Amino acid sequence: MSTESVDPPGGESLPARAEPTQVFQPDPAQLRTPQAESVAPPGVEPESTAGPDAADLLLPVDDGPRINATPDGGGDGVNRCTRCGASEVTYDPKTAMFRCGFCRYEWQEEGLDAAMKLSEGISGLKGTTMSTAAVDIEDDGALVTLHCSGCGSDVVIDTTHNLQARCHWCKHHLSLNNRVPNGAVPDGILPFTVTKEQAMANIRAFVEERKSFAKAEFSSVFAAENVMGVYLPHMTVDGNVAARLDGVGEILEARVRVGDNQTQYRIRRFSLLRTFRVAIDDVVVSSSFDKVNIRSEISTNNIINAILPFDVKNLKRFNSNYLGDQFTSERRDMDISEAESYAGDHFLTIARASAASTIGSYDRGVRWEAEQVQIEGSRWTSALLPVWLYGYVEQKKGVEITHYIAVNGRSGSTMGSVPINTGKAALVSWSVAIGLSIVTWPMAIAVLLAS
Amino acid sequence: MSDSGNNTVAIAGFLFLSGPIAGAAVYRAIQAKYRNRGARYMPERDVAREVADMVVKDEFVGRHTVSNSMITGRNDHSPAVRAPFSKVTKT
Repeated sequence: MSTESVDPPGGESLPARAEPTQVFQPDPAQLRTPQAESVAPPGVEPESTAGPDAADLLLPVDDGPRINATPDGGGDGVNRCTRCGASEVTYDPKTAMFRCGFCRYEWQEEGLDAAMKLSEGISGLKGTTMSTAAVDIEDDGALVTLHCSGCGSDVVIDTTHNLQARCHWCKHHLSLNNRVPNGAVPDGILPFTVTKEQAMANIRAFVEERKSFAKAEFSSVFAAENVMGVYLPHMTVDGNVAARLDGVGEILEARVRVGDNQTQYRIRRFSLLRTFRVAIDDVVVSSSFDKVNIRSEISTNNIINAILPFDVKNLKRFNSNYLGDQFTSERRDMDISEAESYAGDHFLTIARASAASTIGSYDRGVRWEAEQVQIEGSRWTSALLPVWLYGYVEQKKGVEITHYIAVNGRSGSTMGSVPINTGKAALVSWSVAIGLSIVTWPMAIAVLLAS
Repeated sequence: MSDSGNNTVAIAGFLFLSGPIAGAAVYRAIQAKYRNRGARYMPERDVAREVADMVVKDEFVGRHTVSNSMITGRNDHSPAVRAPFSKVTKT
């Protein structure tokens, strides 16, 4: 077969061309927050208008991990009002503020994005950069002893379930705010702004729309009041990546009728190559082994995954006062080395989507046969993200399947899995099939007899 | 068989299958609405990014006559489904 270079489908005269920088912004509605802030990524200037040669894209470069220091937290021990020093501090999701129960002073923690410049310099990232609390977890056990500065006693906190406890003697709240080697304390936290009442209303509405075929056991025990506010461990990841895509594209030239019933298509086929760089701002990856597998057969983890994104630009420096009495947290148990394959998968997805604007003229579509990204630099920050979670365990053929209904604790976005009464669903489906067949089969027989 | 005979068989086949297909479609619709198995995080939609140094190389391979209305194995609309060869490397 002869090979010739022709004008590409866009009509421009090239075998190769460099395109200007393109900026993609997510839909702001997806990132709705009470304190809307800009989510614009930093400006990235292309290094050259000609672009890299495809062969240059996958050259290895050696660079060690770096630590991006997280600002100091509020200190461990008694939580005190920053104005009067009282220890009756609570977090109010309605206002997204801390409130002193004694002097009524209200305040907010500092934003992590600006303090750590987490939106800057993505296109210049080299090697792995991680925030202070995103470093590898050391197996130091889950129990941490805190010294109460109120009465002098020692109080033990089980960090698997909580980062806050009350002194048994003087009743002061004691908190763990700074990094501990077991990964329990993150760099940042995105506080709840959706209240329990709003979450319950969303979950009720979600279930109400699905009550016709819901399993009877589920419907009988369903109580939206049992929803739990949980801070789940995640990593936010910035990436400076080089991408290469190879594929085949086709353009229709003409339709040709063959006989009465068959159509054939005359096409032009092209071999496609795309190389480019992408600065990726804030991919979110779960850092819990229990939740990261979204194809689990025993847990509908994809539901929790589907309520993303979160407005991680509004991350606050971690303070366990955000947990208070009404929220719990889960401890991170994955290191960056274990989470990076998931981030890499997201980078591939983003790379593929980034090439979409260059293939619009292939009206018969494109088949990408090879996709490669080289992560030249990445920046990791550990964070707790707020989720209202309702769980139901279904017994199915001796296997327990956990169904979740999840509400994004910032945007209110709701997704869920409701166990199905499969017998009822099958009955209705068969009824539709039989009912329609009662009408169509005599017609089919009549058509055959008439021919 | 003549063309009109082919037409008759096609129409009769459609009528025979329409009931079972509708039943299967109802069952799938219930599964989709209740279980949401396909729900997932969509970084291609939700994550801010900046693309630079895009190099486009389109090389004509040839003219062909085919019977499919779309390219075989089309995957440009499903960026989260991995291509046959997929690789992530780190510097």
